[in-house]
Amino acid sequence: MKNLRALGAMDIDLGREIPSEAAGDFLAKAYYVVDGVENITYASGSLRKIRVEFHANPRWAETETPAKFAALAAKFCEAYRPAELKVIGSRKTNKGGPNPESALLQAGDLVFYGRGRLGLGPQLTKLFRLLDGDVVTMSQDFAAVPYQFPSLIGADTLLKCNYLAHFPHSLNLVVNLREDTEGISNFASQAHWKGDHLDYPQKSLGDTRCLLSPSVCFHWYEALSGKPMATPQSATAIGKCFRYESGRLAGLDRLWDFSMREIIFAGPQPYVLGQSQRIIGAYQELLAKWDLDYEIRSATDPFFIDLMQTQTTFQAAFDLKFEVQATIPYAKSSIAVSSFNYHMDTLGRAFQLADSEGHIAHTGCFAVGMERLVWAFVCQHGTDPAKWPEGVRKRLS
Amino acid sequence: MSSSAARSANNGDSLESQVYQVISETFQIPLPSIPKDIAMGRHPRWDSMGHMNLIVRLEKAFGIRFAVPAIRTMTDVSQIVKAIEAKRTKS
Repeated sequence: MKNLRALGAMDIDLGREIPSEAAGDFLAKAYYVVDGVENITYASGSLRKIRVEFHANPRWAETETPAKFAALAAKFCEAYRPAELKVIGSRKTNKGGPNPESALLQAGDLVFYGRGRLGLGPQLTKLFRLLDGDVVTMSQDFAAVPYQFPSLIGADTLLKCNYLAHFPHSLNLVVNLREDTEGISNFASQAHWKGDHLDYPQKSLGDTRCLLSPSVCFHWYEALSGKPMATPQSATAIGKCFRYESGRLAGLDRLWDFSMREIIFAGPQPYVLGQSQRIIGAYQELLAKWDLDYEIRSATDPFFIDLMQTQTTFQAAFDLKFEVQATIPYAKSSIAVSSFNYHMDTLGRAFQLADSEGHIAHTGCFAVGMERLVWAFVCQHGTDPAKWPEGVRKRLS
Repeated sequence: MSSSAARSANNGDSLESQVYQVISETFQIPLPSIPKDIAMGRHPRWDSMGHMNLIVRLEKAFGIRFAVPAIRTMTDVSQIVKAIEAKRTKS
C-alpha cells in the first residue's frame, strides 16, 4: 500500500552481483542509502542492476547517487556469508485466495492513515484480541507474569543493549519543544504542513531523552536490572513497537508502528533453552488450531550494514533466531509473524541480570507481530468470518 | 596477516601461539595472562559479543574466511587451530 507517486527513476549498475539468497536483505538495506526513495527493484533477470524510483525529494538527480548504491553493494557482499537455512517445522494445506486488502478497506475493517500507519476496524480488532488471548492463555503454561510497559523507552536503555548501534536506521526519536516560551510561540506560529512533512523552526526542539520503543522485552530487562534475580523468571506483555522501514513501509504486513506480544525468559541457560524449545511446540499447536500454513526457519535480524559482518553471522552461526513464516497465498510468498529469539548472555550482561551468586542470566523471548498474524489469517482464510475455522468462528460470535 | 601475527609467523611460532597472539590483541589481555584453557564464555571478555570480533581478527591475521558452521565450533584455542588448519588444507 503506497501513497506517493514516483517523480523519477534511475537504473543503477551495482558493479557486482548480489547473492540470490540475500537479494531481499540487500534491497531492505538499499532503502537507507539516500532519502526520497519510493521503490527499489532488481532489473529483470539481473541481481547486478537495480531500478530506484524517487518521490518528493529530487535526490535522484545527484550524480553521486549510483556510487552510493554501488558502495553499499560492495560492503554488503564483503560482509555477507552464506548460511544454511534450517527448517524446524511446517504445515502446508495449500490454501488459496485473493489479496484481501481492498475488501477490508471497503468494509472499514482496515483504515489507512498513511504509509505504514493502519488501523483495524471492528471485525479485525475482534480477531486480533482472540488470537492474542490464545497466546496469553499459552503463556500461563510458562508461568509468565503479566506486565504493561510504556511506548516510550529511555535512550540510555537502548544504548545499554547496543540497539542504537545495531539498528540506527529504524529508530524513532522523540523530541519535545524546548521549555522556552518564545521558541514555543515561534513553533506555534510557523509550523505548517508542506505536503509530505511538517516544517518548523528546528532550533525549538529539545534534547532527545526517549525513543519510541522498538521492542517489548527491553523494558522487562530494565525493570530487573541490577537487582539479584530470583531465577528463573518469565513475563508476558503486549506493547506498541516502532520501526522505521523507509520505502518498505506498506500495509498490515509492514507497519511503522505495530503491536507485539512477547513471552520473555531470563535465568540459567538450561532454563531459557528448555523453555524456548517447549514454546516452539506449544505455538505450533496454536497455529494448527488457527488452521494456518507456515514454516519455522532460521533467520537473522536486519542489522545496520556496518555491523552485518559480525552480528548477522553470529546469529546465524549459533542458531539464535527462528521465525514463523506464515504463507501469503495470493503473493505466493510468506511473512514473518512470530519469532523465537535466544540472546545467550548478551542482554544479561548489558542489564546486569544475575542471581545472588553473580551468575549472569541468559535471556530469550518469543514474539508475535499481532497485525501480521491477523493479516496472514485473512490472507489464508478470507475476509468472511463465516468461512473462518470453526474454533475461531464460534468464539467470535 | 596482522603485524604481530606476521611477526609470530616469521619467528616460526606455532599456529597455536599465533592464535594466542590474536586473542591477546582482540581482548586486550597481556599474552602471559591468558589462561591456557581460555574459551568462549569462560573469560569475561570472550563473550557472545567478543566472539565475532575475534573471528574477524583471526580472518584478517591469517588471510582466510570462515564459513558460518565453523564459527560455531571455534570456541576454544584447539578448535580455532583445527578450523585454520582445515582452511589451509582446502586452499
